[in-house]
Amino acid sequence: MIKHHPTDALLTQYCNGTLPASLSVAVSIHIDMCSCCRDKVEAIEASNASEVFINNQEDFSEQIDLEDAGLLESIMLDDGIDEVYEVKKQEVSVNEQSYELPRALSRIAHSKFMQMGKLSRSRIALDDGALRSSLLHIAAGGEIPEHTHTGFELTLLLAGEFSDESGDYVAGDFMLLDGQHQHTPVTENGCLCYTVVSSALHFNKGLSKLLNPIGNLIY
Amino acid sequence: MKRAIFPLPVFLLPHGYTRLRIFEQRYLDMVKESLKSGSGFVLCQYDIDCYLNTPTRGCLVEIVDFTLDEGGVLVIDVAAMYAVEITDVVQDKNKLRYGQTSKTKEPNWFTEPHTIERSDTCLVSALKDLFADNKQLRNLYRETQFDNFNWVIARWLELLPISIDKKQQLAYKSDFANIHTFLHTVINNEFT
Amino acid sequence: MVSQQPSIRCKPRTGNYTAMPDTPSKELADALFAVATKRDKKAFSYLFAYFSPKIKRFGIKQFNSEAQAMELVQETLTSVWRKAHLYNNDKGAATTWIYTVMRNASFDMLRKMKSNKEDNISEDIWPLVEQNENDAHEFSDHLEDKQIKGYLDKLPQAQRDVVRGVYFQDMSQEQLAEQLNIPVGTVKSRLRLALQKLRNEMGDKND
Repeated sequence: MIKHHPTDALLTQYCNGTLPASLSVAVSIHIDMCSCCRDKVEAIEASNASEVFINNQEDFSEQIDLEDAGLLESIMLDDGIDEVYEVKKQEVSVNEQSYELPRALSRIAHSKFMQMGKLSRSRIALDDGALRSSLLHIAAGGEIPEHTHTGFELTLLLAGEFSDESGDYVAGDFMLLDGQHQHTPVTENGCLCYTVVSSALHFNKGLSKLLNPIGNLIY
Repeated sequence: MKRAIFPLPVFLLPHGYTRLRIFEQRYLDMVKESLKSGSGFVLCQYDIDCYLNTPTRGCLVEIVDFTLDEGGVLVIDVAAMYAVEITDVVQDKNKLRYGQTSKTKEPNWFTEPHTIERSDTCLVSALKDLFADNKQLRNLYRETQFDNFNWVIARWLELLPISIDKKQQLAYKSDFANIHTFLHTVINNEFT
Repeated sequence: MVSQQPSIRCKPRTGNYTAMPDTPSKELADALFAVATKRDKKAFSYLFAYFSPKIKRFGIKQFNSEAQAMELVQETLTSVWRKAHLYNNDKGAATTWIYTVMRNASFDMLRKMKSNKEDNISEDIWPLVEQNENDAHEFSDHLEDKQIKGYLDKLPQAQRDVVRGVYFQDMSQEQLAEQLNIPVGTVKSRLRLALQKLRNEMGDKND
């Protein structure tokens, strides 16, 4: 069962369309897998709609001016409709394992996987300012060296399992950690994650410190 | 009349044909029995909410042909006769289901004649084209009635790519006007 | 930035957001339906008159610019005109659907302004049709056929007689598209619209 969910504050930003694209993609994937968050999102959207379109007591008596009337005509000039677009299922293969990409990612490009031992990373082509999003694959028995962040790190487990100091995680689990958290995810049978980080990682322990540049590679 | 019942995810209306592959011993028995007695068997949906997964509505079918495919599997062609109500479902030791079946007047629209209006000819010609282009369908249908509007509509309902639940709803719970609008929207033009 | 604590509990809100009594919810839903099914220009003018000042007001708050607010009005209402058939009247109020169309347009506009990206990914984040549900349930029959056939192929002959097989006779959307000589997207649109009309005519009782 999914135990880790986006906060209500995050869901609200998501519904308002004010959350950055890479995090919105993560929430979108999560709610495709989590019916309770989907219900929350529907409720927030309904409430937002009421706010903007119904309960709004502002005076709209200005009505449509001439410019708007021209707009109305120009919209209706074209009788075409937008067809239901096709979302083709996309598969990714990494380390001889094959995964179906979530719907929200299936039309967005991603780079080839780069491999470093048991870790493989593919960058998602989502230009989103300081945020970088990736597909991260950890092969069976792999782990990510203990690290912290100066910003935040989002990990959304897409397939497989992993565990860290605070417990076990299953597909759909949504974990947003800030700079104060440290963690060392380990996976027994391998897993695929969607990750978003706001800035480079810092590795804390002995040898890992020497490996700090890896942070840039992984995330 | 007591008849054998074959729950299958296949949607068939009166005068429709379909081809079935028979693997299981219980259904091989059913076919044998049906050929001997000449009283057919009943196709119905597989309904997880019903006793023995058998709903109260089914369609009586008659075996019109049988053969073995290259792998030695029995293949039968069946023709749907009419809709039946199923009651008193039981199962024999081979797990073949039986039920009491009686003829119903459903679907209601099917029993009333409907004339093919000028605007409906596209539904007929599109179906004709479909049969012309599809060898499997042509081979299956021993008899076609392109001048019978109900027959044309029934075939479209069988063939359209919508779920069986929707087909059931259209065929048995909607009226002629609903079905008519539905087919025109899908086959003819989206904004009529 | 947002709160960064992961939320452990997931309890849906129970509050219902009912429209104010003087909201013409039914009229708005009917108008949207008339636009979808009949390309009804009068109905669209009604929607335009109701929504455009409210969208404009929202846009001014969002972008702090009158010109961009007008662009949002245009983007949103053009989408409403062109995508009305994607609105599923079972799934919620017309106002909620139009809100999501507006939010998507606004998201794409903000993204364009901030990072000069014209990738319009809002529909990847918030699809206007429920892909999963519809494709999995409404149209999945022909898939079953393929699955069963694939399954049978893998079985040794001796085991086959415990599995029944059947030739499903219905067509795939691709076959229907080919037969009618129209794109698959058009088949999907028409099926949606046909199912929507059916729901509208029959009400909720049989759904």
